Amino acid sequence: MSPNAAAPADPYRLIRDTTARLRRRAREDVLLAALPPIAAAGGVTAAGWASGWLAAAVALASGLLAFIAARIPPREAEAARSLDHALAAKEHFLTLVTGGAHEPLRAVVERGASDIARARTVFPPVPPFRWRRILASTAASLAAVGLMLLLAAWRAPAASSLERLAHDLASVGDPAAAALARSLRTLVDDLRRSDLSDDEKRQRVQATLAELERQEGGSGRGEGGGKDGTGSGRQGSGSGRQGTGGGAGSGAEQRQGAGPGAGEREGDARSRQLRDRARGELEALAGPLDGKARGEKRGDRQEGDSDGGGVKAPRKADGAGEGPGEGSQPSGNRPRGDGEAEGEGAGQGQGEKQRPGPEEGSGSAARPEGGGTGTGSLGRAGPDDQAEPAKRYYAPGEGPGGWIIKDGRYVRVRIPDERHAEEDLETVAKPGDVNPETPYGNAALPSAGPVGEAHESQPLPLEYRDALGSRGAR
Amino acid sequence: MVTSRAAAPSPAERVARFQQTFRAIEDEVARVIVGHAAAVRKVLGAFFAGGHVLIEGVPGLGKTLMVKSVSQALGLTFKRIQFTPDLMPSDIVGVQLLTEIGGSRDLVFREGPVFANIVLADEINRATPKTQSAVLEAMEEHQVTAFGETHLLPDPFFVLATQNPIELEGTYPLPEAQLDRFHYKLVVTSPAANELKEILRRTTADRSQEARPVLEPGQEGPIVDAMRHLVRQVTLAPPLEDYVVSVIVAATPSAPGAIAPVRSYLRFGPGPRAAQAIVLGAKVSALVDGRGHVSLADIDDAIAPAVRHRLILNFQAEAENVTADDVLREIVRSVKRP
Repeated sequence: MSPNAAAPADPYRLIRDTTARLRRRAREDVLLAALPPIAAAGGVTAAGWASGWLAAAVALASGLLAFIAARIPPREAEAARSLDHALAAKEHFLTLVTGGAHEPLRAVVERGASDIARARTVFPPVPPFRWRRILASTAASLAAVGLMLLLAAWRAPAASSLERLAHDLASVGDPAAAALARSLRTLVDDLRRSDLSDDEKRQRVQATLAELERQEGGSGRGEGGGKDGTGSGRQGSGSGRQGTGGGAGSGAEQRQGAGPGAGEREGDARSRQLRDRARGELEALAGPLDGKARGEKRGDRQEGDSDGGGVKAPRKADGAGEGPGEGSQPSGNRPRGDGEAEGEGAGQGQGEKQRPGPEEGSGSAARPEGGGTGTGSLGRAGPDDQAEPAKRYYAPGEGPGGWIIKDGRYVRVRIPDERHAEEDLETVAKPGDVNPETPYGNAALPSAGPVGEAHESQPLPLEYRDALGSRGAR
Repeated sequence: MVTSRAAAPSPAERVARFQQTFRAIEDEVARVIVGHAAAVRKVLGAFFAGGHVLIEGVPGLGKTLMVKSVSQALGLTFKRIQFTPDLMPSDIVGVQLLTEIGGSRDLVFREGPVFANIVLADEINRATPKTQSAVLEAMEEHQVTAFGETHLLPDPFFVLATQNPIELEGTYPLPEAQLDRFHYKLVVTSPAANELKEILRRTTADRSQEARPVLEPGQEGPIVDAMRHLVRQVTLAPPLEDYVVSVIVAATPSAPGAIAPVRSYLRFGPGPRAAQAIVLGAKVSALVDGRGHVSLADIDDAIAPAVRHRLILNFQAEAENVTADDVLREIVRSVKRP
């Protein structure tokens, strides 16, 4: 507000000036309200917490806001109102702005407005900033940033657990575990990258998972290809890892034979345990979307492995041998072949590729019926080895778990006559029992006597006796 | 004395002359009437807006003297009709008398008291509805029909009716449709102490004062016509027009956005005539202030007298002693100002 004694008396110019000032304030209001979210989004993007898409969106929003601010229309009526209020002009300026140009008394209005404009000593104040809107925008932006941080913290445990797994795997000392540890670290880095979409991250997870399975599959084949591991596996769609031809000889790929001591076997078990955990973490990260594709890939690979020999099936294995061989599935959700697989282990070596079995290497084979002196570890020792019959052996309504009862309801049917007839027992009525009564209409009437010998009192049907009293009753 | 000029004056001059004439009439009436300046201004405003005024007030407040003074200041003919229950329409409109003219007898229409420029219908609610309707027809049509003949009333024609808010027994309250024909309803209150002292001084001394005509004799009609024409040329800004409409809509109980007091206490709201009365009254106020446009203050000043008699209260309002002015205050408070 400043003295403006030398201001021109042109009311229209005064309205234009005021309009420009109001428009500038409106732009400032828009930009100030938009500044906090733009700054927050830009900061989040610069800090790497958000993807490039958000940066593009922020740039687009900024441009849009600038466009909106530039397109704010001049509000002459509002300026005229503010002039009227500030100068006590009795709606002179509002009438000038909104009134018709050909009003008969417009000259009078213009003259009055000129007098007021000439006499004014102050410039109408510009309305204050809309602090409430700006504060609301700032609060919303801070809330959004906080939400993003929460989301980041929510995602972090998965990556940190993988990091711990990688660290543990690296400490095992196994080259394969070390390779897996490197892969996991790379995956953790990828998961933290903001420029990767969720699909891309999921693909990285799947790739790491595939690498893990590849490592395990390779070691399984090596073990199966041991010196005495001549077991031939026939498998429909079993897992190659589970095939463990029992052989005492240690092949090139065989990591653990019977020869090593217990400490080494413990390390191997720890490695397997860590791999299992890594598998679980990766599968949880990959989500259900990649399950189908991964299952297909695994099936293909198992087909290839079964051709290699020395692979057993998880279910039915007619392998021969005895000894500490153990077979197991690394994880419970490994696909099982529906077909039968047979494996034979010959020789005295031990092949191990079994996870949850006893660590001492003294487990018993699940199917110790095979010939030969070697020990073949076929299948895993446990209740799952109880072979389940094929579906065709079940009776209708019967399933692997017994009778199939679906949506069962109990209906109690009581047929007294049949019950009595069948039980042939003396029954004693209990409270609540059904006591069937013969309907009145079905009661046998007394004999009417010979025809033509009518009695004075005729027999009445039973149902009328109550109505007629005792007069007609016999 | 205000005279009419032959040369066409500029708009500014016309506004200035209107202002000068109006204030001269006010001053002249004020020489006779003590107090009631706002009421006098409203009466004159309604007169120049082309409407009629209903004044409500207890007897002895100078209503009749005020109207008589206005008519004297304007230099217009003035008649007073005291309404009573036995007053007949012919007593107002006129009768046909068997008159001997040139040796022959003929029925000649004798004009009633309604044939005047300014008519004071004193205690109009004491007459029967039939008689009331005779006056109200004259108010609306500026003509009367008697014995099958239509007679035009003099121009300007201005009715100022009074009604007594007390002694309601034996009265016939004006129907809503007839109330709507009054431009303003003014409530005359008792004078203040200093005003009462001045009244005593003026009325108990040995001198009588009468208002002198302000307008040029013989030119009253054209001057009043020109002033009435100028009133309708005053500019009303569209935002202010919207404000008037908002007030009228807000006072309608059946309107979607009607506020709670309107829904609770009103049976009917104001019609279009109320909006017309507000705008015309505001235009007169603008001219009196020397402006060629209406201001928000002019509208606010005209709302109460233009709307209060058009708000028909319901039984609940009467039971709770809620007046139309109470509801109107809430309405004006609820409407967003431009």
